Amino acid sequence: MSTQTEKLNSIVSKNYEAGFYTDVEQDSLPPGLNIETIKAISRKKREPNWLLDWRLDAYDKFKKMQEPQWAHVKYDPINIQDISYYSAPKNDSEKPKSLEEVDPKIIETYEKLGIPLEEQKMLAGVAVDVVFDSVSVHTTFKEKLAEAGVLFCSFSEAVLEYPEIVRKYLGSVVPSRDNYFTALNSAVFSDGSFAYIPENTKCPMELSTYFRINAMNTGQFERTLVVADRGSYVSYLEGCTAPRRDENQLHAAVVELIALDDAEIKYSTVQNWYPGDENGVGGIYNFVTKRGDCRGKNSKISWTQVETGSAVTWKYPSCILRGENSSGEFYSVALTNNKQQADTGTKMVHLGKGTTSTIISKGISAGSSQNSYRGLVRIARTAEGARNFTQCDSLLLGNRSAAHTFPYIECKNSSAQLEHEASTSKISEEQLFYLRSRGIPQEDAVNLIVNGFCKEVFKELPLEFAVEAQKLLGISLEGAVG
Amino acid sequence: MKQNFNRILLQSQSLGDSEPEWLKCKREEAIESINSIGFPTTRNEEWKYTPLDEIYQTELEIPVDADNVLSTDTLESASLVNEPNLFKIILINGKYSRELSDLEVTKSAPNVRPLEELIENEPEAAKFLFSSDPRETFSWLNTAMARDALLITCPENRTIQKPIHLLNIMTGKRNKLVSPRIIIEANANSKLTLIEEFVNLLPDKSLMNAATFINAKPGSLVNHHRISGSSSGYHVGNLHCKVSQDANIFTTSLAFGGNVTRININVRLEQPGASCNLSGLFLGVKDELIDHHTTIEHAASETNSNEVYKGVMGGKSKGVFNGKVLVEENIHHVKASQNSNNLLLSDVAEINTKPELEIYSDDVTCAHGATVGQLDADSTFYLRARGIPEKVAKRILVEAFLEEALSQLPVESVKTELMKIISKSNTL
Amino acid sequence: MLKIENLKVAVGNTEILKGLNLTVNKGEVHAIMGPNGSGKSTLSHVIAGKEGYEVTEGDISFRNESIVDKLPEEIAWAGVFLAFQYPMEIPGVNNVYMLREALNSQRRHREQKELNASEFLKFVKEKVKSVGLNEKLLSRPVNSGFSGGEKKRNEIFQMSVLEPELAILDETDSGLDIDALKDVAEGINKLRTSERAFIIVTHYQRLLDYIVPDYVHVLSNGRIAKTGDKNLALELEKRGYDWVGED
Repeated sequence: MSTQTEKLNSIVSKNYEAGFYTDVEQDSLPPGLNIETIKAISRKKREPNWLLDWRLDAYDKFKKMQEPQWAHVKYDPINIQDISYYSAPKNDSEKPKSLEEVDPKIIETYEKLGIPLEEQKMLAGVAVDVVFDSVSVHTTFKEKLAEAGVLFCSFSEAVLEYPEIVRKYLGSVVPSRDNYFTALNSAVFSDGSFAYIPENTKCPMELSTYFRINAMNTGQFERTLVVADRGSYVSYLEGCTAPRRDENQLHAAVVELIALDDAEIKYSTVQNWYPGDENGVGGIYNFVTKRGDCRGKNSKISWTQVETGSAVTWKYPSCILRGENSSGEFYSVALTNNKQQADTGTKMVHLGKGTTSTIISKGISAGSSQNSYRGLVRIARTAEGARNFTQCDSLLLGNRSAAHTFPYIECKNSSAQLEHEASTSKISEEQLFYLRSRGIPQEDAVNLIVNGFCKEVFKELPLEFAVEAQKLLGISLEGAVG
Repeated sequence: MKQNFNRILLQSQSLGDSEPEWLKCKREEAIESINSIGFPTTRNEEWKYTPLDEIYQTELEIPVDADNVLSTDTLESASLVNEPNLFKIILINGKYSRELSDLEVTKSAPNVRPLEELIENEPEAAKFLFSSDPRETFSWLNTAMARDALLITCPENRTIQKPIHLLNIMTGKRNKLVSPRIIIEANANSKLTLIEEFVNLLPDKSLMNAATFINAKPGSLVNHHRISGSSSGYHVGNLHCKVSQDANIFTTSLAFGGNVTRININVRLEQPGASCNLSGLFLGVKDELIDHHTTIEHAASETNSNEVYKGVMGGKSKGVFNGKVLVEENIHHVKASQNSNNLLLSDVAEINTKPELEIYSDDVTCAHGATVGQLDADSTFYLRARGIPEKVAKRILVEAFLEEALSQLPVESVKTELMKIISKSNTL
Repeated sequence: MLKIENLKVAVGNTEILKGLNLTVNKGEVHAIMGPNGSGKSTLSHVIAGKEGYEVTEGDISFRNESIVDKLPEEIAWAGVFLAFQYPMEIPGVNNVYMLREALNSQRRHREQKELNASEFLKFVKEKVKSVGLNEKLLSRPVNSGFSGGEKKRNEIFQMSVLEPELAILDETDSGLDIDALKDVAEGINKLRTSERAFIIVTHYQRLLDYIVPDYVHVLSNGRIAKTGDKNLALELEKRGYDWVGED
């Protein structure tokens, strides 16, 4: 038994494949945050005044706010004055018009990551917007999307080209005052992605954003805004990586989703930010606010996340179920290894009649990591006939890891029905022996069991992403079991 | 806002002039701790659903001897427990009443000693009454304020056959703060059953702040039932249990009535083979707020815990259940299961539940579940189709729902009383 | 093929096998019978390399190589298959996928070409018919929600895919009704060849009505107390286990 544990421990030495750094000339602002920084960002982006005012208002709020302390994570305080709030590949200060104008080194970077910008993506039917440090470098398939009336571009472009849509929805789901990091993001965000799906349109391909932090001492503060108009459907994918560095870097993004009547948004994330080394040095602080607003009746928002990266994760993709019979889903796999810490989960706020939500969360803790599920299901007095089903399972690999579950259930309507189930256990030695006696080596057997444990979540991912996620899980567990 | 509390703390210090130095010291420490942390508000995570502003704003008094009078008639009608075959221990305003208690002096009776007696005869044992120091404001408040304390011991290898009924009554005039303090020592391989009942005969804004400590020594078995069911008043209950090797604690909390009831139960499984079973039932029919916070700490290998809490909220009542299971580092073979099941029977009632797991060892099997819902429509229909009127059908189903939490209770009269409340209520 | 010499095995401080000897040759069927607690399951687990057992003395060799210190997967690659008394349920892990991993691990080890998904599926579909397993069960998670009979059939099916040289059937008859027992026995009989040996561990004689053993051993108090042919099993059925020590 104890040898089993030792072996489990010894396998935890992971290999971060996306840890390389790309040497391109950067146009960066010096570290520091003040009104001038914000004005400079806004100027670089040639933003209209209303947006600058919005940023300054957020900054005002930010100054009065405190960093939240309630999550089950410990980290050295962030000095927001040490961060550079703008960094862009230099050749790119003028946004490239075509792929030829993008620095070949950046294209190479993405190829290494398996995100080719080239047209072969056509086969996969995925349109990609790529955000490199602070700016968006390329959006593929714009024309094909335009035919369908789908607007998909970088956030900066959207501000200039579709100001009325941006202005209408920006901050309407996640107000800048929501929390410390949203206020910071609202003040300094440099780019991000924007998508608008017009009425009764099924987006002809999957939309995808790829985020990468490259420069040193840079924080990434992107914003994503997805609006699905009446009767539309979109599936949106998001991936993230960063180079291996000894310093911690801050990623404080905001994602806002709006689904109007009968619309559906499916948002999938594979988060593989650099997690730090096995001693907990370096890695990304991933402090992200993601929220979807099911504003219209029968609308649906579904979050699927596979979280394997980041030194510290603080993230709760949520749904506000406002529209009658709207529904929210949250499927999550969170794997922590070595010294990683994750406090992640969801909030389902039921306001409308007949609203339903489903939460499936799978936590895997290996090494000396801390993995917490934190969730809130709130049924308001108005949410007649609301339903929720929650299942949170935790798997422990190795005796130094920890797994926690903090589910908040608040119910004010007597016709609501809520069910919550949770379990925590270590990987079963009997299952391991069974597979090994069939000739499957221990490490593969652990992988099989862990993948089986996550199956319910993986099946929610688009196929290509699911394969990616399984591979990532295998890499992240490498050395975790022996 | 809390100056009333500060005043009463000062007042209490002057009352304790004749107390031994060590006790004065203990009380001062407790007051210092309270001052450093302050009284909780809803901004405090542990108290987010339970506002106490009203009681903080009330001028409370410390009971004096003149308050501690009670006629036998009042006494008899006050309790929900009417079984004849019980040992009776009565505390009036936290003070042990030898006259009203009924402890035939036989070999099978528990050993009961109040603070004063111990200070006089066994000063070292007296210190034991104040030795536990849970780091929590209301426990400190009890340490600072409890004028009496009672030590109940069950000798090694003894089984006390009759249940012990501990009746705590709060009475007198005007709003009071009453601080009963009871320490129960179940020595090795002993067995006993306790029914701890709290009754408030005072106006709305009085506070009963009770502290009970149970120490289950190796191989002992303790059956503990806690009943707080007064029609009004504020009640804060603190129950701290330590469970040693192969010892076992069953503890049930029944809470209904009152304005605000907050019960903190903490069970620490300290040695291998220790186990606990927690069950609870809370029932709201008008505008009660009933809040249970339980913590089970698995601090040793081979420990088991099992917990079932049931809430039924009608009227404008509000129920809170927060159950935490903690498994400490480097321990093996731990099993823990926890369930919180709730019925919400009115459109203006509310339930907040949070079953938490905090696990720092891998060799565990832990599970928890929580449900919130209404009575099953099919079952109601089934009963009505058999000719049972809707109201009766619902009552039958509520009773069935509660049965699991009540099954361990050794006194029938309390069950009957609860069922009366359920059948009288228009909001269930 | 399998040679067990003076095997002593302990779990913690308790000695369970106390000097056991057994030799199994190609094509032979050995039944190991014995009362509960005699060490039958320990023997099958130790051969298959399960952790938690300490071999304090003696040796187990398979094809002239000691397997006492080998990992379970290495023993499997060498050609030993254990059909479990209680086959594990592994939620989320697809039956076929698991088995392909198993077969390809074996083939990798033997430096044979691995089978891709479609080759494997073709291969498996033939096998599944021969053991009478419901084909639908192939795409379900390993043993999850299978009936007792389905689990045992699935074990035999896995055996047919992995084609071991020595198969150990640990109480394969337990929990089966007579029809399921016949089916399972038939599946096993189809897999009998002159090259493949079987060890059938069982408490009752009834499985041996359908699979006729060459040798019957009685395991008692951690040793082989008696060896005979199939008639020994019948005698045990009639007289129970108590008389074995008396001779």
